[in-house]
Amino acid sequence: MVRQLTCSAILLLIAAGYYSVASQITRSALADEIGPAGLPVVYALVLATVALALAAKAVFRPLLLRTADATASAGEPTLGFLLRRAGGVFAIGVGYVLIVPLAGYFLTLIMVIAAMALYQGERTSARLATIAVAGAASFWLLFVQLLGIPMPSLWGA
Amino acid sequence: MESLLLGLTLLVTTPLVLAAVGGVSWGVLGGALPGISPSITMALVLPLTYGMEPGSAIVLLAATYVGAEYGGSIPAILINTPGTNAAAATVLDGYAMQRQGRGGEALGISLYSGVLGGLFGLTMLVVLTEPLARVALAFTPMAYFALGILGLSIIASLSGESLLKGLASGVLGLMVATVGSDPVSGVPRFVFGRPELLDGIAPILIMVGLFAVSELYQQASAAEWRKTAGAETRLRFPDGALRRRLIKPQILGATIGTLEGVMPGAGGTIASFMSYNEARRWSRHKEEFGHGSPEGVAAPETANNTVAATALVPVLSFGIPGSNSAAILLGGLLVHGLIPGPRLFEENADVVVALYTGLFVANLSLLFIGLLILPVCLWLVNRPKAYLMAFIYALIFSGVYSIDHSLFDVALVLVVGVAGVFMRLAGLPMLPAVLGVVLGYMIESNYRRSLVLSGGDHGIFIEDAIALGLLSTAMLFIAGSLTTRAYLFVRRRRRQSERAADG
Repeated sequence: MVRQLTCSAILLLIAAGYYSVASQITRSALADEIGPAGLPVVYALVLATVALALAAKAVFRPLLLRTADATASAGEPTLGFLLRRAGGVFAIGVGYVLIVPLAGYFLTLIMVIAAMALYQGERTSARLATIAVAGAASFWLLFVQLLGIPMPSLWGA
Repeated sequence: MESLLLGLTLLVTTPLVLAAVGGVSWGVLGGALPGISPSITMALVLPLTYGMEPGSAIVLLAATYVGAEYGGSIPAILINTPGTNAAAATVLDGYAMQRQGRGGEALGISLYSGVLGGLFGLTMLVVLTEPLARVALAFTPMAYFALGILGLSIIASLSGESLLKGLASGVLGLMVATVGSDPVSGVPRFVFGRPELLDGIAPILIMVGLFAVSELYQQASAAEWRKTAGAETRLRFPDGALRRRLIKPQILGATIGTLEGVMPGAGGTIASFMSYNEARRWSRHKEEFGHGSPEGVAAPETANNTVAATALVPVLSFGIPGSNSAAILLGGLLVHGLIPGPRLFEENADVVVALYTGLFVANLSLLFIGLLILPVCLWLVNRPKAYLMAFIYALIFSGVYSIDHSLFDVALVLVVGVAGVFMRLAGLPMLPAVLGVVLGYMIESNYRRSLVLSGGDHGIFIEDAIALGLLSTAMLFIAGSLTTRAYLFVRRRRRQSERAADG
């Protein structure tokens, strides 16, 4: 029930924030009767209603159906562990976005492949280095050489 | 008869066959890379066509389109990443099959259904271009709005256990679709001063973030994947019993794909979602959907590949490009001095016959190219988890950057992935959100255009016969889903009461 109520609260916050921004959208002289804020306001109100209904359901449904909260089955990671591990993968992604304009596509990709493999439990080895370099070279050949995508280059050159 | 003879002659013409096979190979590669859309794949080969004779040039472009539309399902099944928008519906059961060690079977079904869908679509294109073109012309903004609502109506059955959560997810998707310039007045909305958001958020970014990136985040804490046995990593075509079971979803997919394909702008995404929904509605194995149903792969794949052929109807008949890919094909026609329209079929019949023949060869070669590359793809995804995750992450960065050469898009996908993790934790289904993102702009822009036409009178949606028909169908879908849910709820409650009474 706590998880469902948290979900409802987050949805309600999203609806409120979205409504607040939607209500500040300027109306152009070219606007139609509905206007640019028309449907966004409706969406915000619908989401808020659904969030409240979800909260009510979280409270009343166990009484109606006499069901207990589902508990995590054995072997499933705890929420804290899941979020910590996911945070690590997210950090590697953020690292890519920050480093690639400086180090260029090829070098950053080597770092990302190596970092992800190490994060997932691989040990530092010549094999890891070879796979990271070969993988980055394959992506570079495919995207830069074959498809002609202008990927970021070293020091932005 | 003359056209048939010409077609048969062209079948053994080397340049045309090479263009068809080459186009499909290139298209499958492009479609399989997330971020490289069918239109980008086609745009990359467009310059090559300048020096070619018109028939082969158009075949090369059309075959690339066919290959790319199919290619999108490969990463959808193998790594939970739809390569194209239309492959989003394949993710659900395709990836579930892959996680059960049935990836080879899922790919076999997608290839088999895709080829059947492509050939059926081609038959419709050849036989029914004229009447289908009339359907395309009859579509007004009101009808497009109603089509969008019909698409959204399937949220009720895509919602899984909770309709409210499905609704919440769908509304979140609609909200994302409002980001960017207002479709009527051009006023920027929800862009927070970022010029990258003025054109809106591409649905593929949301799909890659929600499906692929959130899966990577979640897999980081999961145990090592079970070792897949050798036999499970082979491409497997459906056997006789399964082929019979797939007939119904394939017919549904082909029918929906034919109708959706001829409507400019409707595209394969709506067709594949609707086919998935209808396949589940009419299936004897509803409980398998979402957990690795072969029918859940066959229906959207058939629809998606049927659309690839029937989407050419408005392009050839009126020169109306319903999608970016169709616009590039139109560009290819114009470059060679071919003006689409009824006269194209009279004055350049040889090119039209070459196109039909090329598409036939392209669909057949899809089968052989699939046989060659899919085992390699299966081998790749059965590498150790640490390396596979690293390569998927690298592929996502490369593919997403390729869309607009923007690191902002890469950052956005990482953030959408975080949202995807929270959606998973909260039990919010992802497909309704994707549907909302895909349909949001179409619904809003056509709703408001319709009201501009009627001077604000909502009665226009009832006066338009097609809109009325589509809206009525949507209401029936919603009523059907709600009735089924209510029945299941009452039955569950009654059983609990009986159990409690039994002590």
